Amino acid sequence: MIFGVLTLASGDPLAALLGNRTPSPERVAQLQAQYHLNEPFLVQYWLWLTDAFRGDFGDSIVYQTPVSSLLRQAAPISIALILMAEAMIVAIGLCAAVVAARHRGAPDAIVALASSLAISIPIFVFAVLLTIIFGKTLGVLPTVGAGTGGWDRFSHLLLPAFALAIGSSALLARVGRSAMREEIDSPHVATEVARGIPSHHVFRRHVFRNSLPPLLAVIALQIPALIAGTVVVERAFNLGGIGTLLLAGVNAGDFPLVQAIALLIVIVTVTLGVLVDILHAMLDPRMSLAGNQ
Amino acid sequence: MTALLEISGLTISIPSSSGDHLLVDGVDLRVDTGSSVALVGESGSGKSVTARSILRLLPDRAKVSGDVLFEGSSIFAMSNAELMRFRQTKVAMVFQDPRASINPMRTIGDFLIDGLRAGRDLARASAVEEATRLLGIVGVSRAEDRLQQYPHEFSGGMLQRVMIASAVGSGATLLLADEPTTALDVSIQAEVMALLGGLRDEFGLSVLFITHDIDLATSHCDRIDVMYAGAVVESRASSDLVAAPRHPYSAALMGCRTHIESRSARLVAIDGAPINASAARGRCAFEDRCSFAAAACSDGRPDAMSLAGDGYVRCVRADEIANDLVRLLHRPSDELAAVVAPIVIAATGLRKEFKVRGAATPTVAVDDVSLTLRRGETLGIVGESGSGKTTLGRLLLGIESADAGTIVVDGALRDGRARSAAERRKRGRQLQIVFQDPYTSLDPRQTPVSAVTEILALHRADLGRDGRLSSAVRLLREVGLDDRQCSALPAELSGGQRQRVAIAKALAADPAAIILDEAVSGLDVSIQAQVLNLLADLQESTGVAYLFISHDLSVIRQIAHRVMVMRDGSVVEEGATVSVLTDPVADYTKQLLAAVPSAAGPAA
Amino acid sequence: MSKPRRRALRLGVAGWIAIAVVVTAVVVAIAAPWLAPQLPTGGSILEQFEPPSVTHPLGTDVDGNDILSRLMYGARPSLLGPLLVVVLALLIGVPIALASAWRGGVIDTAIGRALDLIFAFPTVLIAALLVLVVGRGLPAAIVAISIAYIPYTTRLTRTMALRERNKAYILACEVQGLSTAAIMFRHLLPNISRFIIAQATIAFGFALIDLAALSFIGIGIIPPAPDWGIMVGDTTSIAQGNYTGVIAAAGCIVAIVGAFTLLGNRLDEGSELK
Repeated sequence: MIFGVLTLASGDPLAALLGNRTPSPERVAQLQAQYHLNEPFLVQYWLWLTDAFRGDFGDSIVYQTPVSSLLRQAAPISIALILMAEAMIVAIGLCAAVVAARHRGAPDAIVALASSLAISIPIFVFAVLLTIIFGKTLGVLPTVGAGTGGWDRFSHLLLPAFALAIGSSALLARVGRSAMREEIDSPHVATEVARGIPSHHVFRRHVFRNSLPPLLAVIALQIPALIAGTVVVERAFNLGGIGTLLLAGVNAGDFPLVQAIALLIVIVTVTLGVLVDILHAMLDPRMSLAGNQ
Repeated sequence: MTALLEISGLTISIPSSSGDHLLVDGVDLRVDTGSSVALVGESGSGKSVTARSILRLLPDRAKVSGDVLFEGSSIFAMSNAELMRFRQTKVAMVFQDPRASINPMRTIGDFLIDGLRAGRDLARASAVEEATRLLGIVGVSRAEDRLQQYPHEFSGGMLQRVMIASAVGSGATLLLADEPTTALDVSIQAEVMALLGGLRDEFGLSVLFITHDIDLATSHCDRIDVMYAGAVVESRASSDLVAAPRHPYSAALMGCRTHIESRSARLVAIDGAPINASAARGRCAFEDRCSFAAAACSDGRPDAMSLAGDGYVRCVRADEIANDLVRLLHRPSDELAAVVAPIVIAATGLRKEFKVRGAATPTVAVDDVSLTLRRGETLGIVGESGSGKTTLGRLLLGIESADAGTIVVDGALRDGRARSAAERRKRGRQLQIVFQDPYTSLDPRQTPVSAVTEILALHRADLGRDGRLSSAVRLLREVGLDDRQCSALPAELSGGQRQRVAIAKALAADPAAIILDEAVSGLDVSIQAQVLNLLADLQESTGVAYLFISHDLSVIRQIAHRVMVMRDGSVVEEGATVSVLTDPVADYTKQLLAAVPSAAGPAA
Repeated sequence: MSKPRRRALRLGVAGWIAIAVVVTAVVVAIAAPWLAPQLPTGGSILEQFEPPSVTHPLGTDVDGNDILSRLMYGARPSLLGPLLVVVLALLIGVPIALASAWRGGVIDTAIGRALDLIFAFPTVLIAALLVLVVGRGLPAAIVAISIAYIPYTTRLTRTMALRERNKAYILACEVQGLSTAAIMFRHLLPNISRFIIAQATIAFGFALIDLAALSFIGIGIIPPAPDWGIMVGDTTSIAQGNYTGVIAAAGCIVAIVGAFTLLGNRLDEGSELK
């Protein structure tokens, strides 16, 4: 699987490298030597792969520094952003789902309305609105840059993470609500009610617990969208993370940089997917059994 | 005897946009301490809703009137705390499908311990000990290990035992058993019923048994209450009911059932389909379907008329028609004679293996099975789930290819899937199938007429457009559909009507034989009788042969000339239906027969 | 066994409003050259940030272009783009899904794996790689989003087709002797078509968002071409406190996406047998 991903990620280096510039023949030769472009495709690929494995992605064309050091600078910002956003998604999504599932009528309708609205509003519109409201009008939270260290970083990332989280949390709330409703109406919950098990126990042990696997599946499905959203949000708030690097690289035709980021993103997506699968197996006894056999 | 449970005038309705939807209409019911009462009815009769209302398990918006008294106090007057206590310690319920009724994500131990700790305030350690003891009582071996296991590691029968263990552990005096064996295989069904009977004696439990199966009810319970369209139409002691039912519905319900001891010349058919309680409000609910209906029947709802001895019936003509009703009851008739005719299906040495992911050896679904089917003959294939009977049908159809053996259908050799469109079409004229589930066996976008016409277009190009249309209508009338039903969408048809359409579709190609794969198992008994009668008539008029796959021995007894008993992919016994079912040789056949409830009344 | 019933499409007030929104947008997009008061581009920087007036009903933007005209012309790529994405994704996804569900086995597994692979690439990454190779513009953006949507369309259709395929009536058709093509086109496809249309309608809204997002981050449509995504991403205007164009374009996107999502959900409610 990784092999296919990497082949795709390698793209067409020569075209990308030369782009719309008209370089001198010496420059072409130099570039070819530097990036092994005169080697056959598979050799190139192998050289790049082995280098990448050692953490060496070559030098960025725009920044004229090693790609790896650029990544090292940018990654903490993006990682912090994604973690904060995921925490918000889970917190907001689950709370809304529980409220909507337990209280038929008004609370349910409000969550349904709010979530349809939140799903229809794109991340970048949210980002711009938050910038205007909190940054320009109220002036309570920073809306540009990622800040430095600790609290400053946290406050700088608060709005971006919220913009990133809101759509996904609405989706989670929706799926969570219907999963919990399905459990509430299921025969096994009827059994517990008939046995006189207190309702908070029934909700916690039977309704909430059983609806976690489908919720986890939604979170897993949202991972690529979350990463795509990171690029958008980083641009909107000028955060200088991996997404910002990616855009800079694309606009400048900086193929070693883009290649490295593509590899990184795919590895992160796949790894997160696998982690969610493992968590799923831990949560659902039927899954773990199927895995063992 | 004292009344443990007394329901009076219970009426339940659910409000909807089109007015109140009535589910239960004035039910009176009494369960004495130590007795077992059965509430018998077809789907939609309101029997389950009645049972659930005893634990106040109805949706919040349900409107309830009347009263339910348990040990003399009204359950509707209970506070929330009292209700929880009541559910924990007084009444326990066992549901139909144990696999759906126990949380699949928690262990069996968790399930039992939750109940014990809630009801009896046991400390964890003593709850574990008690759970182990309870599993022993209901006959689950290695109880300590099994507490750690999850529901998917248990069989359906074992899970139902776990449910019963929880009921026993609660110390309840009344057990509500809602179709507790319907989802289980026949032999398991018998074991679970025996367990329930034993616990009744041992712990002095009273049982309210909800079932659609009047034979199961009469053979296990002291009293029977027959429900129809939300009301009890007859309430009798089991033995009285078996001897002489007094309501036309009870009598017909008993008469339309197939029997294991002997076959009927013709099953009693109840015309039409059951109606709901809303449609029956304020009048005799059964009038439309009753063959004894008279002018007097239209004067409002019949009052309960007390009967000599014990019990009551709601029928204004009960006294006049008492003797006629007895005549509806099953009377043994001649057995089906052996068929002498050309062979239409001959299969020899069939074998089919399935690879199971992770397992070292493949599962043998069909193991060295041979069979013959003659023109105009019905061969019953009997077995429990996993016996290979359905796979056998798929092999004959050519949907699966056999690993070994030969199949000849209507003179043509069949080898796996059809290789060309022409071959597929030719096979369509040889062998057809009718499936169990009437709700998925028709294209939801096709009316019966267009469905049958489509098949005729495939096989009877000679007929022309008009000819096909009139043939389709003729065929659908033959299976008992009226003009309106012929051009209705499947969603507007009842289960029985859909199954008739499926039969018409199967007949349209004029095949030599039809496989009926549990084709009447999903239907209510009164509808089942109609379809069985129809199948017999069609065989008589067309000479089509049936391969009748079923788990139900009494249905086989009614319809099949010969029977083949399968277990784990092999044939354990084969022969004329009458000799196999009255004088079985194989132990497994004997065991199956012993598990079938007898209509002759309580064994004790 | 509950009685299945196919619910009729119930639009309700919200549904009719959604249809009105979509129809208005389509009319405006087609008739933009006649309806728009000005050209969407070529404004003078001297007329930057003019307040609303008769000539500029919504004022002008940072480049001195008429905002209302840019909104109207911007409806064209914003509607055409998602339409092409959805059509491309369906044309490729549905046949693959049907083949996968019908044949099952190894083919099904192989297709599933291939889809997983594409699925690991976020939309932005596919777009970035494509732009790197073929250059920036609407076509690259549309192709990129279509590639990203193929796994969605295919998976959803496959699941539905498989569920339908396993129903007894399809098997009965086979036993009757109907050809595979007849079963597929006369029975299977018509029975899942409403579901497919519903999903495509919902996907239209999301494709609009994703395409606009690409324009917003600067790898979609090339400015100064009129596009809602570019208008929302006008950082200079935001920095200078002039939000008219940003909010108006954002409002257009949200209205159209909301309308399509709502219509899709309404269609979907009736597509499953309850």
